[in-house]
Amino acid sequence: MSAAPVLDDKLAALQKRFFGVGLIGAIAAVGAVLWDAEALLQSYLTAYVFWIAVPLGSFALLMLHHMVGGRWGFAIRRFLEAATRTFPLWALAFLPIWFGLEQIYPWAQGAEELGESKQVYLDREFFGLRTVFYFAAWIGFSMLLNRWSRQQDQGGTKALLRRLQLLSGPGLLLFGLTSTFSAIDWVMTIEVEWYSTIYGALFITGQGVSALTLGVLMFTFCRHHEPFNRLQLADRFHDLGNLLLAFVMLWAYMAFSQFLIMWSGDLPEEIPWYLSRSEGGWQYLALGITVFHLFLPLSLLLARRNKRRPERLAAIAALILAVRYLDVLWVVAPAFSPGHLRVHLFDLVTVVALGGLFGGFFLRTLRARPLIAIGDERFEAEPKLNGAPEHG
Amino acid sequence: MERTLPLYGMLARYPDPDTLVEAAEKATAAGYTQMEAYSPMPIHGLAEAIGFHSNRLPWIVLLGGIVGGLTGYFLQYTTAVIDYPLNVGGKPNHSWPQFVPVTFELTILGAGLAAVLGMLALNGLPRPNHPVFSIDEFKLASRDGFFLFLLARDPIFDADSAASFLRELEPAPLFVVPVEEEHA
Repeated sequence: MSAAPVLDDKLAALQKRFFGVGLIGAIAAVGAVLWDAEALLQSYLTAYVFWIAVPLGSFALLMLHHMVGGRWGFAIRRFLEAATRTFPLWALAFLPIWFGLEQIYPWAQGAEELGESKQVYLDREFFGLRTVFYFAAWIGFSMLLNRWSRQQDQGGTKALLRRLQLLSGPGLLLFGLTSTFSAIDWVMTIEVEWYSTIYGALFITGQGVSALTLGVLMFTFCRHHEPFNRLQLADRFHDLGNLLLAFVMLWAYMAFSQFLIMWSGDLPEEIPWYLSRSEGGWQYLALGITVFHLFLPLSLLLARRNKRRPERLAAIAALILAVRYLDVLWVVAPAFSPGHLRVHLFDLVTVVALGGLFGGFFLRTLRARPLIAIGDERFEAEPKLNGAPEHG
Repeated sequence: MERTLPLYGMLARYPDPDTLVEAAEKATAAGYTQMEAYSPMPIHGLAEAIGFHSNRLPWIVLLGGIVGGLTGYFLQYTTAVIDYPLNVGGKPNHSWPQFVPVTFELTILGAGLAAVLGMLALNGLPRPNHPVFSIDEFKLASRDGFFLFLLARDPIFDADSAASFLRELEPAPLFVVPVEEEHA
């Protein structure tokens, strides 16, 4: 029923390693509470926003694939599904943020300087209620998506596919709204005066990038084993490389649009966000992100041979995922330390702790199911499934 | 003018894509370097089978993109900084962030044009006529015919051995393609 034995052993070993690293990180993080709880919470928020982008992006890509199909999706669909099954964990992992609200959000400390309309929105209880709603939506939708996809394994009927599609259309809409508002709530409200209307789209494209890197890395890890070696590997990696390129470009488009509009407007309520991120060392981080999140991956992903060779594409994906963290750091951390670069040891501790635990739980739930959704009737269109293994 | 090249090449018709790919692979293995394959639809692996590895097109596209990008940037630079320096919102004349969208668009335009024109040029197109058109059955190349064409200009080409080679795999219908009239 579950993964082929050899691959399952490898995944189990990887899972053990992730849990081990995550546990060490978590212990270090618990110790760090005694040292400096406020700095820890701020680092924790960065790590949290960075890692939850993976299940969120997976959630969106999964529904997108249900809607439009395409062979690229079958190679990574079970990875995406497994990532969305970690949402309950992320709800649990939100608790430190909830209990440390005052240490993170200035509006939670007393909101007398806010306007009346903002005061209604930035209310402790309302904030909590919204977060509960986001998680309820994500967990509810992903549970149904996972259950029906599992039922497809027992025999894919047209009705199941239709049901998945009927859920995915409204699900994508709901995702767009909840993802946007969670980004606003969790990150944008740290700098209470500032707002950007492209903010949600910027986060969503970043989430798409992160989820795709997970897909590429996992697909690369599994590629020599059943049933992945029966896919046309070079073609599937080529597809994923093209998608990654498109998402990187889209992310850059959003990031640059926000910058260009605010830079052109130069308004006192908008421009401080960029000023506090382009001084005191933060500008080097911005430069690094421009080079390593846009120019370098763009140039590498244009070349056909980099997309068709799994180990090359995996290296590019790993680079992009690493720079995703820097991008989140650049968006979140200067809110706590405007105009003064601050990279804390806790940044590393929290990103390792959450990443290790997430990776461990992800692999544990991944292994419980067949690694390719063969039941989907559209999968039959894959020509070489029963043919000779191809080593791309 | 001497009639040194009465033969342009040898054309064989195969019944299905797999045979065509196999024949092309064998021809490449046998040392043929000058060959073409014709089929009504794209065939996976056929390009590699006739010995096609990579070409110069990516470099032409890159060049087109660079030329387009530079054109876009300097078009804006010369107008906004040199010819019509206007104060817009107190911004410096050389406001590079505002130049980025047009630069980007012209990069894409330059690369796109270079891709299409470069592809045509490298393929020797447009070409109103081709010697294989003198073979009536070649029309099937856009219906259900799968053709392999060995060119006579190949150094190892020899009419007799090419004919027997093309027939080795399959008793395929063979067509001797003469050079075009005006070159004869």
